[in-house]
Amino acid sequence: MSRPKASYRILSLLRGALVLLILLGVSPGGSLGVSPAWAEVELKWSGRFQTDLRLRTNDISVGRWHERMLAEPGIARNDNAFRLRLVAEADRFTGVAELEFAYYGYAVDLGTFDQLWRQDVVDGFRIRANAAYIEVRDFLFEGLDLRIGQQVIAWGVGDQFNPTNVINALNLEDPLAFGEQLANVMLRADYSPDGNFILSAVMVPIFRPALLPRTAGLGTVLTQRLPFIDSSVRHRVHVEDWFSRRSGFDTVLEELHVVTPERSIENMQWALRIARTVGSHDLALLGYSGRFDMPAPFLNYARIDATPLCNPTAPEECIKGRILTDTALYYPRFWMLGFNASGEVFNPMQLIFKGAKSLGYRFELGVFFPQKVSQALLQGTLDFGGALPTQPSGEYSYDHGRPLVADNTPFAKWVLGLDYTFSEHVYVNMMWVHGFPDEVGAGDFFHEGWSVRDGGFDDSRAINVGQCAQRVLLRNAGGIEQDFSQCAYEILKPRLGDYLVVGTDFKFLNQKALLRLFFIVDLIGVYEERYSGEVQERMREHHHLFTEKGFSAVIFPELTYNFGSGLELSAGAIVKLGKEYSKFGDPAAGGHQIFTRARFSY
Amino acid sequence: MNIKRNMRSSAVVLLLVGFFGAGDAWADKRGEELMACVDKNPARSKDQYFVYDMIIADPGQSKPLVLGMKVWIKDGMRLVHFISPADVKGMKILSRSRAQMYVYLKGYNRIRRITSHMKRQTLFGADYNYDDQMTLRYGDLYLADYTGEEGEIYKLKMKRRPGSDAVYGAIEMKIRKKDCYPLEMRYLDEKGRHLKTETRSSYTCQANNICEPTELKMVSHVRNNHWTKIVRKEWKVNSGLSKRLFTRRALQRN
Repeated sequence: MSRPKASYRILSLLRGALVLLILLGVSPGGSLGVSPAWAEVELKWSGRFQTDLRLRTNDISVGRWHERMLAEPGIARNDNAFRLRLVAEADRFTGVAELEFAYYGYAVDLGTFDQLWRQDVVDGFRIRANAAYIEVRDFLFEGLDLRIGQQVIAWGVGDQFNPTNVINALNLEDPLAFGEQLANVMLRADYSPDGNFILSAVMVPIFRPALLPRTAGLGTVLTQRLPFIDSSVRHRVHVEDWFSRRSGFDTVLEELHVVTPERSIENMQWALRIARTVGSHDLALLGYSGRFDMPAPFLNYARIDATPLCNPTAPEECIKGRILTDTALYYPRFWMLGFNASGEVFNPMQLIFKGAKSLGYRFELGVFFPQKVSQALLQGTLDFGGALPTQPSGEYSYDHGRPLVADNTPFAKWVLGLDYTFSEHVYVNMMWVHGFPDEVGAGDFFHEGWSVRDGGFDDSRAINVGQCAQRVLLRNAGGIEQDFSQCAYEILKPRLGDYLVVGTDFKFLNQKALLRLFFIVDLIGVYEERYSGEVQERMREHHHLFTEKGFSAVIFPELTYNFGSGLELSAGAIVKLGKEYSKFGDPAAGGHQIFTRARFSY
Repeated sequence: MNIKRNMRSSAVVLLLVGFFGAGDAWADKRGEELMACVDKNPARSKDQYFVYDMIIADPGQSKPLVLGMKVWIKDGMRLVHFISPADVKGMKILSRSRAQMYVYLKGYNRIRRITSHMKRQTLFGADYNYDDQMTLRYGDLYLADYTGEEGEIYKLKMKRRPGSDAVYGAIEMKIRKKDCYPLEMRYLDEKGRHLKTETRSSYTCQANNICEPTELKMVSHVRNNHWTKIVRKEWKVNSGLSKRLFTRRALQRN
């Protein structure tokens, strides 16, 4: 292929710009279409209609009566979405736009009378741009492609679990779209001199955070899930929380403020990848510098609301007041080195069965170098009305400085997947996932680090009440450092969990019907830690996956029937098993759901 | 007496197998020459472009499923792009070689390598699997034996070459005497069971004796004679396709 002349290139660039204008609906004629002068522009369109109805079958409401967050059985989702995709092509230029409109079918934030005439409130809806970009092939020289605009870059090779897909934020809002990424505006350049080598570079000007599950708010009530790395800080806060609660003051998370990075050059994200095919393996090395798409706390402000409250449905149940906490979150920086490999490997079954084929594999590894994050704990004057010693306004009286919620120890997340087709009717895919998408920080068999799933004052030892109360008073009134390790219990999980994911597809009725069974099992379980009077130190008891306390799993069956001509109907369920403190039994994970989905593509 | 004769025959066979090797003992020179002639046909053109309708019919059903697809071929590489119906539109299959095949899943915006175990998988209930669609040369996969001729037709029996990853145990092929284009292919498994029959008919030709069937039909005998027909709608030869069309990077383009 010869290089076009410069004048031709300029003309081609102008045409490319026109493609975008056409996509934006500002073509010379003022309407979406192709004028005769630009007849070489090819316009393609497609899209889909989709309706989702989901029912939650269990009550996952959390919190005490004065902070109750409800998520009762009922309709969990009633989305009706319309997606339109336009592709305009002219010569080496392509413009792509994909917009999705979804009507929720209910009012999202209807709270006051004056909102009843606001259609945007009463008719809840969302609009999302999954794509809006221009692509230029052979830009400047042959083999260099450029893509500018709203787009998704998915370099990961795993199925749904992609620790190296860090350029775009995750869309965790819809559990059925698990693994989906949110488009963001970026500049991407790919250089591919032949079919087996690709060098890619990406620049993302503005950070975009992840979309969290609709039930994520339930987790904010669970204030016992302290984020501090230092266990002595956690033990002290657990006991202080118990002590204030015992004195009639409950701690309540009042507001969560999210601070997004400034739109500055320093906050731009960068990524680089080299990909090459070697034999029957596709290999890639990649690097990224940017931010986690999940927020971490960095600031806490506590104040007292000394208004006595009684439970309207149980008047004898009263509190003297609340310790209201506002927490600020931000998105910590990190950089990552990644390695991706996919292809096929020897299948041990070949030793037994002559006709057995090689196994398909996918391996994705991300080594993360995170930023250290500490949390400042500030407070107004905490006047408990004599029930407890008044604490002056200012910063919390730390024993060892501001506590860390994330340290800078590198950590690795990976996915190793194997798959096999047993026949044209049965396909099996298995994965070992080390580190779920929402799990960050060092904490696995390489380096100890825990996340708190539950915790509080340990009332299993009768001696604790008096001693521990005294220690709280000595620490806060007398300023004397105390050991609270005897007073608190915790349910812990390593910061990075290990999960077995098994998916099986059964195709039948001439492949029109697909029964998909998906399982995710937490392989680690939980650790229960408390002080043992016998051995005079804290002991950790492991509840492994085959115990009632440690078991946690997701069962996800789905039946889909393709009627042809673009119509597809699905029905299924997501069953999340485990205790409230477990990975999947967690109320914030959304509980059990039954779903139906109709989709018509055009 | 019969037992003795059988033993003698077996000994001769064993000797022959031991001398020539298990694989080569099966092929004959004529068969290999004819198969090489079959394999030369795709190289007659620099590149080719097709638009096909793939019609998938279940004998018990009145309305067949029709898939539209575009196919580009160059230097032994093949790209298939599904263009209709809407739920499969955008799906692409790239074969750079038999060992390097990919499928682009539009719904997931993801490229997956097609590994050996997936090659028997069929698409959308069709009777063509990935391997059928992507095999352009047979000589690397099969050893051919000339089995006779009939009017304007040569007959070949091709058996899987030892160590090859061909998905069939054997293929019985009928080819045109004048130019080696296949007319009928009977696909057998390792046990000799007749799995499928493919017919390629209504050949038309362009310059340099580049010929292609207007219609290909695959009947699956293990699926109650379920069949799939591929009907050519458009065909261009030597239109100057770039090799860069046959790359993973290009798969993700619109």
